Amino acid sequence: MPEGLRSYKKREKLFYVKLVAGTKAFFGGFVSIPRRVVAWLGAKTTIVFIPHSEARSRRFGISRFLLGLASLFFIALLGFSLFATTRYTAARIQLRIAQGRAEEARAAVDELRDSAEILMGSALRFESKLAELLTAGASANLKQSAIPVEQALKAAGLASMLSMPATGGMAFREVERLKALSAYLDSALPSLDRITNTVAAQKDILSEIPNTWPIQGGIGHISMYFGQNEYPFSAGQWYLHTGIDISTYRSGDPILATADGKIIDASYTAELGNSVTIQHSHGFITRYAHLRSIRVKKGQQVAQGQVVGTLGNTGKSTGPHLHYEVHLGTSIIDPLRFLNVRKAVK
Amino acid sequence: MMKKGAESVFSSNSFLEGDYSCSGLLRIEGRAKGRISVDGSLVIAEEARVEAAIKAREVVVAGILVGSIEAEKSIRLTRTARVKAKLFSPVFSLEQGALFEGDVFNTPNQVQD
Repeated sequence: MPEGLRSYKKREKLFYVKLVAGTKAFFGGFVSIPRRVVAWLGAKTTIVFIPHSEARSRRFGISRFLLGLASLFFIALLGFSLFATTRYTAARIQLRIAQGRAEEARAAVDELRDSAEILMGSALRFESKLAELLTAGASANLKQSAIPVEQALKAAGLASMLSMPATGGMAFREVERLKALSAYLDSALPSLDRITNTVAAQKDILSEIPNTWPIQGGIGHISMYFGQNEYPFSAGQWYLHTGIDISTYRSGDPILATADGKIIDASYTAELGNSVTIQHSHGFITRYAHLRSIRVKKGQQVAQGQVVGTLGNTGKSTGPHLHYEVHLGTSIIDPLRFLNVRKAVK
Repeated sequence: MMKKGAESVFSSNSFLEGDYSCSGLLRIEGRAKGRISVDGSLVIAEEARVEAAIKAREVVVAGILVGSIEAEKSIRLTRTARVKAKLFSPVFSLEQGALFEGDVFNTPNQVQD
């Protein structure tokens, strides 16, 4: 056998031997690694408690696997408790906040309920007033005596709120009532429109009727009423006062025309002093007497609220005051009747 | 002035014979025979049986001891102790129930702490 072949064979054999050994080692690893892992995990540890006195010592044998398991369990327990505590605290805080909000909301609801009560009260007053107004209108128009409130409201197309069913409890009742009130107000609008139209139509007439306060600024007080009074110049004697006396305790306050009209007299007499007489539509005549000065001329047209003179103490007078008279046709009437008309409309 | 040392334990099935020295805490629960010196505390547990000449800082005996104890600080025999020995220590304490036979020598306290 040649030398080269022999060395080749030797190397070949060596190669195969190594291959087999390597393969064995490789596959052996698959078996031995889990075995080693199990052995490692199965290895025991002893935990000993050694007292520094004569008390008995205690020892616990435990495998690494169980030790690991126990540690994991404790870590999990710790983590969970931490998590739970955090969640609990967060929940508590949220609960506190929610409680605070609920408290606020309850207070707000109470306030709203109170407001609603007040509103309902106002609404009821409004209803009765409206009913009164409508009744007055109806009776005036139809020449009838008073109609019951319900009937008047029905005639105006309004269901009474008084007869509303009170169902449900607490806040829901309020809500229902508010809804009803809203509906009621909506339904009241047409009636109010009608009233507005009527008032607008009456406005021209109102400016033609002597129904405003004759002194600028609405000041002064009535020092003598219309009708039977004691004569101021001779005690104990009675006479018919043909107008009202208005005093402001001073002279110089502007006197206003109480309606549109024409000056038919602006002169001085011993009885009335400086006086202005205005002819209005519908047969009304007004007179302003004892003026300090006259600011208009006979034949001049004046509008309601225009200055005709200033308050004074001229003529037969005991002090600065305005004597105000209203004539309707040939009769002298109480001016206060017309003053009240304007007040009620306002 | 305690030196820091490990805790050593001879558990109940162990048997020691000869010279033994350590520092820290020594706890004997098994059987021992010989010379024992501890730079620290020695505890002879209830189930221990010791026949030795002992040198230590502080000794507590709860088991059976025959021999001698030289303690720098104190010797305490608990109610389960069975002791037949010569004791050298500045401080002694003997609980009710302990059995003791031997001599007691009071030595000056050598521990400053």
